[in-house]
Amino acid sequence: MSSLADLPVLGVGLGYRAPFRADLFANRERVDFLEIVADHYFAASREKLDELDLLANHFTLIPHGLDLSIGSAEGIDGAYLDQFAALIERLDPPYWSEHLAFTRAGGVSIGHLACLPYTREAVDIVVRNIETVRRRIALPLILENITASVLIPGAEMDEPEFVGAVLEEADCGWLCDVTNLFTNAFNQGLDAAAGLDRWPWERVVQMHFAGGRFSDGFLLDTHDGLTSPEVWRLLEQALARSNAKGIILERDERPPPFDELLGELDQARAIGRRLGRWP
Amino acid sequence: MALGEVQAALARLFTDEAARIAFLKDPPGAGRALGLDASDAATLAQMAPQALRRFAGALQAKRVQEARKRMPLTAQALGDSFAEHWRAAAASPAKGAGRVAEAQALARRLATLAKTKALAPAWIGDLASYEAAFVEAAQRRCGLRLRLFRFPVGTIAAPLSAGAPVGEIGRRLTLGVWARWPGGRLWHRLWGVSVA
Repeated sequence: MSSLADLPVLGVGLGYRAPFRADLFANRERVDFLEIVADHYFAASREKLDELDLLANHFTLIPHGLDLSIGSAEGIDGAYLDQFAALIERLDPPYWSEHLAFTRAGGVSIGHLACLPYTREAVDIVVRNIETVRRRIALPLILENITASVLIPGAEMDEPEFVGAVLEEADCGWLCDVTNLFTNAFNQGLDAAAGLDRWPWERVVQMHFAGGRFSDGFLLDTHDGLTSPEVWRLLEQALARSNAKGIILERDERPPPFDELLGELDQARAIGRRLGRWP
Repeated sequence: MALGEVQAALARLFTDEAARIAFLKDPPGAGRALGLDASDAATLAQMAPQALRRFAGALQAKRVQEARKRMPLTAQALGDSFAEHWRAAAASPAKGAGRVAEAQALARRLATLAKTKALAPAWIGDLASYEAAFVEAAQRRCGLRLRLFRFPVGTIAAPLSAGAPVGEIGRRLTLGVWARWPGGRLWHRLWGVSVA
């Protein structure tokens, strides 16, 4: 825990996507740090690595993985881990992040984050996999709560208890995706704000927020629109409970004028300042 | 719960349409067929069918969207039918299938359909194969790849890249070369091939 508390304050940043590049450099002073999708730079071409070096020369970069599959019972893919380790060595970030999920099993690549069953066995497997990962990458790892589009039957606990158990037993930081918290609560007919006390706020290192959209009464985590007022409220409540070092806005689809993103970053920064999280 | 077996079954249900249809018809039976014991099959059978359909649909939509980004010219040439062809090519992914295998599967399907005149234009398979070669080259740190096309793919790609319609295109054997030294930039050229 002490190593998490000692991590540097990063402020408010953006999930890097190539279409933003020119605007990003034109507005350098309004973006405190960047999160990059680590997988985009594995076995990367010279062109991609040049891009990465350019970004690294101007921003603190946090590598964020998609396909480590930390919850796979069959263990961690050593080749994938080696690629992640090489990227971390190249960037020397303060920490790195992944999702509390599985993406591969039985030789099938799912291509997306799948929910783990909230069971004791799954907690043990994630903790075991994190130990494997730590033998290769000593840098602090933080894990993100995902959107639980399909809940796996057989749960022995609920999501806050599951996330708390994994983070506690693995001594890991939490990448709290506030939009995912809200999305899961909404889709399960729960009040996200009412259940906030059950989450492991003392383990938060970083946060994510984004806009989603409704489809047939179901809320989807689409990262393609403005952040909703409900998520803004939840972000403020979450930040008040935690000592987050940084917040990242995620925008993957339907990129808006860059000013819209900067406006959301300013709004998040103002919340953090009001709560005394950063200057 | 044997988590490894359950995850393997879930991975199939999320990505394999045939397995999913069987599961939705007979959840416990399909669970057993996917290698689960009776207890885990009964547990998994409680999965909400609507949630499974929704997740599989969202997953497929995401993969189609990513495929569109990787093969933008093919997507542009096919228009709305790109998603239908991608789904048909990637409905039951092979073990370990990734973006390269998916791109190649789509290219093979389009080439087969174009050869039998079931799909127009005749060059669509070559265009997909051309873009699939870039997907493959982007994944390789080094190496040399040669591809022979029946149509002048560069002439087809140029107007599509500019968002313009492609005019009448006749056959012309074209050789594509993709090369990369270890750690170097990708080098690519196309040549028209004259057959004596």
